[in-house]
Amino acid sequence: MIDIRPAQVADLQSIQQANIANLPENYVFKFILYHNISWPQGSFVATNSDNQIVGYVLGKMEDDEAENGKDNRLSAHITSIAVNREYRRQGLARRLLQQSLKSLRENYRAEAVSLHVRESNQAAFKLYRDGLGFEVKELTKSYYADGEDAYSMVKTLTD
Amino acid sequence: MPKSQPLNSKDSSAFQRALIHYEKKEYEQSLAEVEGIIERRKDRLHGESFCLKSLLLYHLKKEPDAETLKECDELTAKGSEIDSESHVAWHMAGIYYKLRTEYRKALKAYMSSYQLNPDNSNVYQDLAMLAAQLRDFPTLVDVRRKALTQHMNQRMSWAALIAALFLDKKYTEVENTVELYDRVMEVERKQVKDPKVDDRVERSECLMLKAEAIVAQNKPKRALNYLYTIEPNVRDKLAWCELEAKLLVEVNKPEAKKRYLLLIQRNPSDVEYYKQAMKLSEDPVGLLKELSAANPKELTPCFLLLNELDSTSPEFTELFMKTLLSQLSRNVLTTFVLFKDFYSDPAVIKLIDDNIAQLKDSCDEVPFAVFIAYHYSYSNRHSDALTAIEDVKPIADADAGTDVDTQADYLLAYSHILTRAGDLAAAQAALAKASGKLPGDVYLNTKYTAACFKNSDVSAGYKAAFRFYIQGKHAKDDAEAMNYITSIESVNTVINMASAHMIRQEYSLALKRALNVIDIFNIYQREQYDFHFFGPRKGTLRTYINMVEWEQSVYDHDVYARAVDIVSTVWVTINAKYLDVVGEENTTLGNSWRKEMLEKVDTKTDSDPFGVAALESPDGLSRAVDVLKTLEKVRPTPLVYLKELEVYAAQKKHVLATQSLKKAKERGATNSQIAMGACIIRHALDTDDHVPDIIKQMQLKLLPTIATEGDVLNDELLQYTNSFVTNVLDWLKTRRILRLTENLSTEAAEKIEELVTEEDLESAYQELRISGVDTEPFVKTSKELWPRVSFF
Ligand SMILES: CC(C)(COP(=O)(O)OP(=O)(O)OC[C@H]1O[C@@H](n2cnc3c(N)ncnc32)[C@H](O)[C@@H]1OP(=O)(O)O)[C@@H](O)C(=O)NCCC(=O)NCCS
Repeated sequence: MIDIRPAQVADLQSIQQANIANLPENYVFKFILYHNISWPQGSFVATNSDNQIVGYVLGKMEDDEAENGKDNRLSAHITSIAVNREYRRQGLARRLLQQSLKSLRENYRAEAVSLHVRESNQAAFKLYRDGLGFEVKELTKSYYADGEDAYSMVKTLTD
Repeated sequence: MPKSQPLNSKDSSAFQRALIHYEKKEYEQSLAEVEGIIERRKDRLHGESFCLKSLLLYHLKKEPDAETLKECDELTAKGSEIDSESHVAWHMAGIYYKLRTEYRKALKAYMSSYQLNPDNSNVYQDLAMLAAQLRDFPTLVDVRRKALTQHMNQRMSWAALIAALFLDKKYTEVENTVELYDRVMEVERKQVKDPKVDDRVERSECLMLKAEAIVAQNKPKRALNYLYTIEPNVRDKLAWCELEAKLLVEVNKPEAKKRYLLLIQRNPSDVEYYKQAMKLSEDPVGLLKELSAANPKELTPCFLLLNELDSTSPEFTELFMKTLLSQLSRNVLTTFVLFKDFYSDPAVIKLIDDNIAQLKDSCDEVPFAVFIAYHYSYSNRHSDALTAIEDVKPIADADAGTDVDTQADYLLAYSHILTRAGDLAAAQAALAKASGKLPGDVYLNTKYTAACFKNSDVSAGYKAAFRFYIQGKHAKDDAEAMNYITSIESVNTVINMASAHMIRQEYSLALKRALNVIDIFNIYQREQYDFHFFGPRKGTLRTYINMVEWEQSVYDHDVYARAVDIVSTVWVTINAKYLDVVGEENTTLGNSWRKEMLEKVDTKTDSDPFGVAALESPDGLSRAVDVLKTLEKVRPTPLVYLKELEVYAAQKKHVLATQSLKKAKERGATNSQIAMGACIIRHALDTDDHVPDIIKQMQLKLLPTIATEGDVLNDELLQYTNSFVTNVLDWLKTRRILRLTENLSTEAAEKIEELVTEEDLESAYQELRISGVDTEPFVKTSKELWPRVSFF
């Protein structure tokens, strides 16, 4: 049975490996630890009955004003999200994000949330736009190391 | 060692200049001054100068070599001994040991410096971090308290002390300190009139921590009352609600159930909430029915309900089939993962067997075929599984008109079924095809990489593992990509590499990769260091405390255990000279991948990229003991003790080997394992010409008290092994180590029925290969029983 719950320190190693298995943008453990100690309530995991992590979301607050944008809203940011292919299309990513956004709002008073997505990543794009109501803010040229463009997407958060 | 003499005024100002240069990172100039002092004072040694020189030599080299490090070690040891009354010398020694990540020595040096001069804030800040890293909580509390008395107005100092007290389990002091802190903040709040002061994360955290400190003293009622008083100031509403619900249960309040229902509303996929609510309900089944009905899109209550019902009851049948059919009708190819948990129950397997026609009508052809194939595979009907999935194989072809996502999902499932049937080569091919269809999909590539290594096709495996890093411009060639993989700490991939090399008997590379994994775990452990500063500063105390507590178990990880197993197996095999493997390996290693890598590899970043030096390192066995001891601390299992036994036997440390056997037995080793251990020890004693007689006699007396079956001392070893090492894999291993390999392959073939899984079959085959015997008789029999197995 799938379980969705807040991420704990003990989950971070597995989150790191799940990220490496799913995405080309990877992080050393120290960064993930830093992320979790800085914004402990922004991250959630989905586990299966063997207690393996099959999906995760890492959510944080923008810590510098430039990142918060012109309108000066307190903004959250989704650092990374992924679900193992065998577990996709079961609504896990949507649930993970819903929990993360609720927590980011409560704990850090986030007024908006932003994220980046590869132009070619239709699954993620549809999840954000159709599943969760994000809007495209702009197309950032060559955002990724391999040169691909990114959609920068945002969503306003309310109680 | 003579004691230090005070400096004259010339040297004293030279030393001051040296310190200033050092702080400005002008190491050359600083070194010139220090060497001047040392030169002028040959007969009246100055310890502080030695300590400083050590730091300078260390910093002057980008990567200090072994010789420099040795000199630095000596200078530091000498300097701090001569100047043992100088807090400066000890401080520098502490800095040096910290740079070398020798935290225990660093702690001692900092402690000495602190005791000689308690007011140097640089010293006690570092000392606190070291004490935290080494879990010396009484020292941590002491130093954090000191820091607070000096900086009463620093919020971080309060937070740091409160965390330290919590870690040291001084819960009443946690309470008092939080109270005091809140009063100090009260003053600030009145002065600044800034509402944000009330709202800070670390205040919220301190308040929650106080509540947890009350809980830890087993005072749920008081904790609950306190929780209500702090509610408006707690930001982490979820944690607050969870704690409230938990405490309501502890004090037997009926509202508890309602709270869990609210938590379920908030997150309907958190299994724990349901479990708690069920415990509090007089009619858990009824409750789950209500919850399912209220939220039909949510599978969690439905699956929990199925778990509660008797799987042979009509009610179960109806609900199970309804759920399964509705999931299948979504035509998602991987529906099976949701139902996998039910496969330990024969009634469910029968239920599906009886209803296949109905399932077929509920969805498209491909999702049906995939589901049914999994169904057969998980009920161990591998050839039926393959027939079912291969029935729709044409859909994966380019001209089939199916969308590529479906094709990829199909191939992913197909590879699972093939792997479970032992056909690793076809599983690799299926995944190659899948990732070819969606070349941008990292997950498919990860699976493909793993399949290559599982099939011990290392050159394809490496190529796949490197692909995205080269494409993503993180690395320009294979050699850089390998460095990238280890620097990004991709332990799951690296351990698969190690296992594949092991199977191919490429021992140096197997060792190299396993050591890569061990290094990464050491990094995990070391890297928390900075967080002993950052955690209290950020104020997220509960998470910081979790980190410190979790760290005890960093090494308690399957991947680490696999790496330790490989490292010790390789070093034992090499050092005990069970086989002349090095010579043999040189031929197998001529593979093209390694040749290709050799040209590119930069030996400046890694002086031993292929593990050849590590393989031949004379201290291999003692390093194996070190990693085994680390693992033993977190996993004191029979397997770990048996591995230790093997290493000690190879080292001819008979007493320790016998102790390990005893511990393995205490931890529940099987009779077969105990007999295996006893054989290895007796063999080591029999073949050691230098063992003192008294030791030998002592061990021989002890052995039969541990291995009580048969007569391990007097039976012939071959006969003893065949009678008492009853597990096939243990038996093969014992025969290999004892070098009783005649007829082994034929005898193993006779035991083939005892090998149940594809993995056991493979392990048995590997044992035979390392034994150096002709594997043919074994392979021939295996193929009759396992027609699709591909690893021979
Ligand atoms: C993106 C990703 C996280 C989605 O995970 P998921 O658990 O399958 O997503 P969900 O099941 O919650 O999908 C919710 C909604 O998103 C949309 N969606 C998700 N995957 C889709 C796909 N492959 N095609 C079209 N729409 C899709 C749908 O609207 C879906 O709702 P529906 O199933 O009711 O139609 C997953 O595909 C993934 O891990 N991809 C690789 C890593 C990645 O790209 N991460 C995002 C980086 S920005």
